[in-house]
Amino acid sequence: MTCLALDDALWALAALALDTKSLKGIWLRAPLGPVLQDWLHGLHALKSDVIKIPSNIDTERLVGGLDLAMTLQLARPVQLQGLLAQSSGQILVCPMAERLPQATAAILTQALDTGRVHAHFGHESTTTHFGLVAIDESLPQETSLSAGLAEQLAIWLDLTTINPKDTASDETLDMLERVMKKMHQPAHTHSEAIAQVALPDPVLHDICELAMGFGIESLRAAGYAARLASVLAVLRGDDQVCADDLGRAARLVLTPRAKCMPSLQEPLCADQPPATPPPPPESNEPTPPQEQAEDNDNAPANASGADASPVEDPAIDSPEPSAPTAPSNTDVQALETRILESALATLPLGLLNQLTQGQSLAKKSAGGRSGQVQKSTQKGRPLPAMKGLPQNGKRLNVLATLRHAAPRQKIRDKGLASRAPESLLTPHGPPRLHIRSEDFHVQRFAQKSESCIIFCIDASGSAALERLAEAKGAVELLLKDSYARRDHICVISFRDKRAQLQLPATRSLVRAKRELQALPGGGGTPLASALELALETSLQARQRGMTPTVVVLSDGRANVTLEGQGSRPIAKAQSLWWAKQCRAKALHAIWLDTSARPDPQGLDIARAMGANYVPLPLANSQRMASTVKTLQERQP
Amino acid sequence: MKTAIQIVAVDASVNGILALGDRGTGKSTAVRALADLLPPIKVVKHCPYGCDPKDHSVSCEQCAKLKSTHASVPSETVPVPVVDLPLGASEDRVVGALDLEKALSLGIKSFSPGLLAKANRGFLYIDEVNLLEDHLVDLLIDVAASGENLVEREGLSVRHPARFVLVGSGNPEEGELRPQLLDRFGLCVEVRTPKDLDERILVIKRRDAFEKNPLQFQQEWQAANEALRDKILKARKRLDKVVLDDDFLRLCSQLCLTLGTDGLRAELTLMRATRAYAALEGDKKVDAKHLRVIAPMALSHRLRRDPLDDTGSSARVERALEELEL
Repeated sequence: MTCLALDDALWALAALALDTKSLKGIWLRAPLGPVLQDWLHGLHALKSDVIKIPSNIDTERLVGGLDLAMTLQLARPVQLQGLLAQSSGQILVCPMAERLPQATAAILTQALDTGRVHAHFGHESTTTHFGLVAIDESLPQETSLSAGLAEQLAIWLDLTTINPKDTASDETLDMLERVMKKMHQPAHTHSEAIAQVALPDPVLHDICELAMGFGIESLRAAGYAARLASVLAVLRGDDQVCADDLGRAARLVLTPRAKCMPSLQEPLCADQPPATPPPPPESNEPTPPQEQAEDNDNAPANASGADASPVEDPAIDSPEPSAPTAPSNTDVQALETRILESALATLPLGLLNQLTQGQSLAKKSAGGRSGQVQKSTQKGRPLPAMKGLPQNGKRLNVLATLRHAAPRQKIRDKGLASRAPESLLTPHGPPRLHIRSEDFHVQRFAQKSESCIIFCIDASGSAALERLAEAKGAVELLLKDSYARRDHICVISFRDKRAQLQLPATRSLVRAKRELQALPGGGGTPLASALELALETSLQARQRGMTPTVVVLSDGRANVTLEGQGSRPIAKAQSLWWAKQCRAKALHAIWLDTSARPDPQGLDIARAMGANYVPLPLANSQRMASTVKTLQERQP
Repeated sequence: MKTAIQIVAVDASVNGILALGDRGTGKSTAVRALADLLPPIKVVKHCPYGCDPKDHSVSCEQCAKLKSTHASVPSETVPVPVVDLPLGASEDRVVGALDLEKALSLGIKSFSPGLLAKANRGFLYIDEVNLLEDHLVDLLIDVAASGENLVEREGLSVRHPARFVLVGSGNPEEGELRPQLLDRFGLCVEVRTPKDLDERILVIKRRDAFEKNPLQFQQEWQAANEALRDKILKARKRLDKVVLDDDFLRLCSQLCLTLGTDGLRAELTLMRATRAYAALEGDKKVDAKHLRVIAPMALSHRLRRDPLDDTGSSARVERALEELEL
């Protein structure tokens, strides 16, 4: 069976091979599998010089600098040319690009953006134009490729929907064969051919209109789409952009970036599936997502049929090819779905501070400000290196060691020192570098240990609905608190069938607040699912070096199982089990009970979690206000 | 954004721009265009910090020595440095560190200047400044305030001038900026993409034209570039002659009082920026109409605000301006 997605993927591949310099790369969302393998094989066939880089590559290797090993051996500075400078005009493939450290991603972004690489400690920069295929294997709830880097890459491709059994159309295969023959020609002939392609005003008009319709702010995207359309025309062996090219360029560049959901809550990343059933997009032909399959058949038919026909059709007709058809009908009809304004809630002052710093039942933690600063020899922000031997898992800081040894080389050369040099670093190299044990420095880090507060909000219909507004208010109060502490915020909501990650860890309070405002309520209480997701999210946060704290706002009356079935006893058992899992992982948790009166169910689960249990007081009572005041006065 | 950039180009003491906006709205492009636009500067030959051969008050140790012994120092002309500070830059890279190459080959201790040295007398551009690591932010705040980079590490003790205009850009949705750093930026502008379809098409078209034939594109725009450069140069000359009377300063202070800004930096920036703007416009005296243009840029980021309040603070500035009947 021929498949449009596969065709698109292959055209994208050919386009990148032909015009590496301007298109800059592909953000490839694909799991490891035969489809990805085949695609990469295709890339290798077109471009013989594809370089694979691991996601944990040294930044030094990437940008170049002093080659320490060679420098030590030869006792004269040996410069190493960076990979990025070497690979101008070539394509770099980076698997697991979502795991790229921020520093590496920043270097790649800058190099792609400016077309120049600055070597470490060098003052000259080298021009380079490489292509990057960033293979992103992240699952939907995990962090994906760095947004800045993704922005630089023209094509956003999703291979997940392609079945290994799919085959490409004849037209595509022909094109690939033709391009294969062309590839050995020098690069400038290609760019000249692309420059020949005329981009008439109506075409540009369509692209810009489309981009605006999708709510794409960036002008870069529209530029990329225009460029890709002309490259596609060259691939067809034509010098006119036709409707087919335009449609394909829009599918590869614009639609994946679309974020226009004229709803209360605009998903800011295109890759987040919309949480609420999305109202129809702002295009003139609202297309229900279910018609996706039909669209795929329509597009080529439309385009090949008419050259002069209005070009919008193929472009607009698939607004979200990659978005899963998540909004099912049952969701839409969920009875009591409501969005509530946040209301005033009352919380003891400085609750977050007290609770995160106080002793949790699960884990003893030392006091401190937001996130505890831990001195560590493993990771974190580098502190000045410390003298000492690299033992007990401490990492040798080569640079500091050499810096310490370097100025003393002359003296040691003259044999003024009586001790024999322990040349541990270069046992056999001819001119020896004299490094002594006193030179050794080890790495030290202040672990930044940012805190990440994961709000788990019960938006179910049971008891929570009546107090959802208040819960929102409470979270807002806590948000304000966490702003002062510069914490990361993460919002999970649970209602109806399952829990959902509303907002991945961010520092932007404006976003958090917007998510919160648009949070709908109603349905069952899938508490187990929420705890599972919270645990997963916190472990991810911990992996990134943050200190997670889970704040659950719920009444604890679980009635939906992990499978989405309504069963009170099973749901409770599952919730307890996941709560215990949280405790087993020494997760720091706070349980804010939102039930009208404190309830043993919530307390049970909170105990199982090892969480601090705080009943959320009713806001409307005068008494509460006075309690807050007394708390205030009691504070020093 | 364009006005703000021209203002700092005229008077560097305005102390930097913060450009807030989404990706792909042309923030970086505008900043990088600066390098092309500004007239080249004269520097002491081979000086890693690009010291001014004529100015005796500010120079690095070597140049100071050179200047005191020689009447004239050899100089060369270089373009104004516009230095990109990448997000993942290490502290070594920014501040400078021991020159490993010299230490290993010659066995001498010498300082290898970092990005701050390179940016001296020019512009330091930080993309996504709000995502910058805190320890780098601290460092930048300090250097930007003092105009001098003090290095005390690895047995080195170096002090060199680092006077640069800090230009930051970022998307506030992705993270907030620390108020201390916010305050260091003289002007703050919000950059949005043009909502007008024709304008957007024009941008894409020009971009496409540039990609297809960069040389020809450059030639076409040479004249416009030069006109703008002339405008800036003339404004620089006029800057000292622009009159700032007490009434106007009173107005500035009144505005700042109404808005309740912290510290006096707001008034100082207002004064300098309006003066530069008046010089750009070719006016002899600064008055309320200049203030109206500059006030939102210079004040909006200095207001104390509720972290959860997502209405822009520029609206508050506008309201204050109306209250004062400007």
